[in-house]
Amino acid sequence: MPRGVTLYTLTPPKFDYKRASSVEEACKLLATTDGAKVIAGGQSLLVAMRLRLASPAVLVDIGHISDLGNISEEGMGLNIGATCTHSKLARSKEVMERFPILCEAAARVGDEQVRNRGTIGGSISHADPAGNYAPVLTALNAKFAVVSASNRRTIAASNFFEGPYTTVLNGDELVEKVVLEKKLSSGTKEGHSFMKFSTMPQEFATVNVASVVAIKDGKFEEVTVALGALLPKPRIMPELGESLIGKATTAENIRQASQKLQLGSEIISDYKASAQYRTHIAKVLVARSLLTAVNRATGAE
Amino acid sequence: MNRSIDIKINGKNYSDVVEDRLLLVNYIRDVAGLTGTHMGCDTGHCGACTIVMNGEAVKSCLILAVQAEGASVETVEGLASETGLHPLQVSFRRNFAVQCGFCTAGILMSALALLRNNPEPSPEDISKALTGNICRCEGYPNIVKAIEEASLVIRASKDLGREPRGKENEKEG
Amino acid sequence: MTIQSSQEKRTEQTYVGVAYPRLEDLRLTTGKAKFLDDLSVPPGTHYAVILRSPYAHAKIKRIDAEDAIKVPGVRAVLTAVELLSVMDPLPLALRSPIRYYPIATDRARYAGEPVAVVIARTRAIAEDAASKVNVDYEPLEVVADIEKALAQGAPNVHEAVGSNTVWKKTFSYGDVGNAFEQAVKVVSVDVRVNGYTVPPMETFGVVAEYDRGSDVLTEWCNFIGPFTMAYVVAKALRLSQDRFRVIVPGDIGGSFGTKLAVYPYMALIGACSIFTGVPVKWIETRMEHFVGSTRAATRLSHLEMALSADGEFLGLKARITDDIGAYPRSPEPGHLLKSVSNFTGPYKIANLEISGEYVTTNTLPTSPIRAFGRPHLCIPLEKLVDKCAKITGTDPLELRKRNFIQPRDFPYTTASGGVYDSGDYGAAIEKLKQIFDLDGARADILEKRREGRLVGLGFAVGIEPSVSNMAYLDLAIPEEERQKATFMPHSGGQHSATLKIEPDGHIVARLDSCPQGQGHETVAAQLVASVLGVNPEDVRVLTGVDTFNVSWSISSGTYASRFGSLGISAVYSAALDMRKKLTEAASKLLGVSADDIVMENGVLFSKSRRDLKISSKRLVGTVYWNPGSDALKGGDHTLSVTRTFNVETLGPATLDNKVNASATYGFIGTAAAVEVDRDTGSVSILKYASVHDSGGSVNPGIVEQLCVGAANQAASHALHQELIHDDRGQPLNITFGDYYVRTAEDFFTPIFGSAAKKSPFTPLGTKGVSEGDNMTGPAALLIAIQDALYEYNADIDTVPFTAERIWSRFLSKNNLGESASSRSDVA
Repeated sequence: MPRGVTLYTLTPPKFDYKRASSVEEACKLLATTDGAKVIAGGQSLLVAMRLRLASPAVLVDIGHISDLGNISEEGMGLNIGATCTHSKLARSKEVMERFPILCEAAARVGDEQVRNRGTIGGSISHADPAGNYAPVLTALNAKFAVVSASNRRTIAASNFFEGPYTTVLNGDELVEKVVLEKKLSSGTKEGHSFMKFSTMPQEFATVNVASVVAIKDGKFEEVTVALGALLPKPRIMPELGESLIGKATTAENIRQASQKLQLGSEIISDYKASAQYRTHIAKVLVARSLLTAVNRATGAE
Repeated sequence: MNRSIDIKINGKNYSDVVEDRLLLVNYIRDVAGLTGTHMGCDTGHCGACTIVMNGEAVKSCLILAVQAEGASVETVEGLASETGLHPLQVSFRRNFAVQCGFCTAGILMSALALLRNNPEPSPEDISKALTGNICRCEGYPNIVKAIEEASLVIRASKDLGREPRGKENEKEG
Repeated sequence: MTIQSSQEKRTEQTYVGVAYPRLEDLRLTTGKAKFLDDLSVPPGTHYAVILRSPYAHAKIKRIDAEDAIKVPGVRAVLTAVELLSVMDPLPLALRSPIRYYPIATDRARYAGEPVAVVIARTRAIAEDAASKVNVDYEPLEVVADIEKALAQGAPNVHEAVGSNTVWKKTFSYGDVGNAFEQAVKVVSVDVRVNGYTVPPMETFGVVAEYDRGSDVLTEWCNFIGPFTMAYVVAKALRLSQDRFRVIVPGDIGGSFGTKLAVYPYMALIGACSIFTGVPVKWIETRMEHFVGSTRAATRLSHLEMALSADGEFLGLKARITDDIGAYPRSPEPGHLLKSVSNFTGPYKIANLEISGEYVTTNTLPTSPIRAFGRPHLCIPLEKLVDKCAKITGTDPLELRKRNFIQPRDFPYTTASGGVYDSGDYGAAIEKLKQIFDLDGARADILEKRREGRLVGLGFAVGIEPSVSNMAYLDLAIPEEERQKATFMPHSGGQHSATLKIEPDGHIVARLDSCPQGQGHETVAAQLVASVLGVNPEDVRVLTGVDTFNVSWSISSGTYASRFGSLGISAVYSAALDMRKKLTEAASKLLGVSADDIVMENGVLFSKSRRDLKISSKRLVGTVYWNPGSDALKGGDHTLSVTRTFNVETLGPATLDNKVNASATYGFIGTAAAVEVDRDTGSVSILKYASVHDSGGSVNPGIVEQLCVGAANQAASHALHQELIHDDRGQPLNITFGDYYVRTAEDFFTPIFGSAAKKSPFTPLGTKGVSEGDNMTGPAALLIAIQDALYEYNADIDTVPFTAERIWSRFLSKNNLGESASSRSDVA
């Protein structure tokens, strides 16, 4: 016989709060404490806890570990610390110079208050399928440096996300930084665009798209498009590259390539949007973001 | 578990022992007794609980009080000074930017942080800074106008070397 | 500040018509306002957390609270078993075998219906304990929408009714049959308005304290009235009215009608306090608000218009089906009945037939939401009128003007008994054309269409009723029953104001209103200040109701735009009375006739002999401290007056079902220009304008801010807002992240104009205002979108008309089109 109640709560269930002063200490706490969970900005976790959808016995706060939120240059690439807030990322000159699409995505996470608290590490670890970073970091071929008390490993963004709210992270691991490498390019113009479709601007996307293009002599040399939100995990659309590389960067070519997209049967369908509508919007958004990326590369925007 | 915390609110030091699970908004309202900061939802969407913490607008319902240990917090109660109302308060009143007033405290705090970081915001900057503050009376046009006007007043007073304060302070309810 | 404090000469009405900055804002912008959750509570207050049914329809087999009650700090876990010992059902306006309690008894009938209440020392403890309560349910087949409810063999939400139809009636006025026989053309439309709500920022809340010593239950709550519901709650709690005290704070964080529906929770939390003997506080969470508070009805309507050869509206027929959720709670069937007497809006239509059917489903029960039932009516009616214009090849505004009630017709009685006070609707339309720049807008549309853009124009008009005459609900009662001698007809809708001058000269005005952002304090202060020659700051205005201390009636409260007509009139009349009292006392003290006295700058003079004068301060002092003086002896000079204002046309319903549901009738005309994104179906509002006839406004700044909000809310409703549930009746969009709420990134600034025609029924000519855009806004937007989609011959029949609906119904019939067009991002 079915049992149950529907309870609407405001207060998190009881837990122990531990403030870590170093990554090592955080890892040790995670390794030695049952039911421990990392909290940084807490913008998703505390909501889940207030609604009693999550009830960790211990919260390990990494939000006060100094330097964990730093952005540092490494060659042509960048390391972005786990507790770097969306606001800091959106405003970072270094990131804007090298990976402007990441600033664009960060600036469209939630709202100002959430961006001021929420962190990139928290966001990717939470792995909301409609989050902004997953398609962008996948398109940028980012890697995540992950640590635990006993191990250290690097995971490519394309292998990190497993599905809605699930990643390959083990319970005792935490993301320490996001590593971005910049390829040297010669004679090509690069353009990017992140777009998000949502009924409310501050909300998670119904569909989002990250497009990165390289153009040489008016033709596509590279096309990377990653789609998010409408699938359980971000997906690169290689067929776009196949049909566009070597072709002129015209709106018509983009339109035709976008229309041919095959998104498969995994498209999320819910009260916010049917699979059919999401599929359609994905095609529209891919076309629009590619065109914007082209315009940015060629200086038309 | 309980922990002791020290928080500065509106320049005043507060020292208390609190349950780990106490939210900052509940600390501000129920422990510090500053009920101007409101709660309008349970999921961090409405922004009625917005405060300024260490210089940034944040939602006090999505922060544990223990996370705010050592922080400097500003709430709506700290906006007016002894010399008068803050230009934002004066401007909200002059522009009929308050209806039911439940969201007002949070919006004022978002606006305060915005004007400090960006003293010359465009209407688009203002709109973007307020996306996390819902006004269910939907009085947004007046709110955006009020913030724009307050930014002008603040800039003008700074040019004149004056503290930008409203003169309606003697009538303050 | 006192009555004498004014620095300058003040003459009557100095502040009337002035956009005076709101007095409320001084506390609202400084964090000093006290909303319900900010009030101090009585010692020993416990906190209630409500457990709700996860099933839309289920038998409750067993509730196991054993583990919960053991949690330290828990006082009680209460279910219907306990609470029914102190409670009867809440009386319904409809005659029905349904028993409506604020808590499920043996069966839950909607997902979110209260099942148990945990009462503990703190909210956190109550939540911890509530997680330990186990309830066994036996799920039953769910009836989640109208179509299923009306289907053959559908399970019944209430077995005692034997059907899901709880009320059905046809109202007929004039000779509809003849009108449709005479018609050259009959035009019809169908519209479905989905269930929606306009949720306020502040959720519901109740603090109940039952005092055994006095045997009085006191409740602090953000209930907005009408106080007929306080009577209903007292009945349910078996309390005589002198033992039930309701205190509504002066600050309420928005309502938009919803906070009428606090009343079932007043009964529930009151019962908890009576049962446990401790004060009990309950503050609703946001998700609870979505699943357990209230919503507007879901409506299917079919309207038919009989047209003459020259486009005259000969007759109107309507078939209305309202889904009002799991219980037909009061004031249903108001969604329909409130509008019966003004069903034809601003049009002269002599023949009218309305068939109404009320259906229960396993969903959240309904109650009034801003402009109670009028969006439901205005949208199909204006869509119908627009279709009539198209079919007859007439300009849509001209067709409307041709059928308007004309200025010479006022006061005008509608076919169904509404008594309209005043108006010049044609002039208002001319004003609308001007402020909207109709010629310019039309040229702009043509220009954009040449660029291939989907743009369109739409117009909608409506009357804006003010006040609820309780008589309208009597239409729900069968005529036979209303003929019985024992039947007590209902009528009236009055507003009270008490004005006092304290012994030291301070002025206090006490209203029986429960404002939720309408600036009543400022408006009342402006009125009193104008009449008594002081500054608005000199008048302390107390709003919110305390039923033990305020002159209140069953219609008290703030709803149905009643302040603009009745409230203002009551305050103004009380101020005039007060001035008369002061003048009379002065005439006795000065030994001149009362006609000879004038009041200026806090001093009362003799007009004929300027040296004969007395300061109002001395006058007030004399009245209080020396009433036995020779001059004042024997008269009643107490400086306290209470005025109750009513409008004479608010009589009871007649046996032929005519009734006048409202006191005054404003007018609104709205024009909208929209663009539909060809790729996504998203709608942008290019331009929006409304002309209001509010009869004139005391504070135009307040009227405008309210209308700015109403217009934006109208667009939110029209384009986005609906409460979505699955076919098992599970509500799906129950947070501010899922249910559409507008933000500062997505508003528009409406253009407003005034076309005021003073009401002959109120002393200052004012009418109610600020619900109008909630009616005409969605209608104008629907018509504009149909116009934008003219190439698709679009018939929009579902509200809200979301981007996905527009795409799937119309745009998807085309190809991807101009996908890679100039607009870079998607709004």
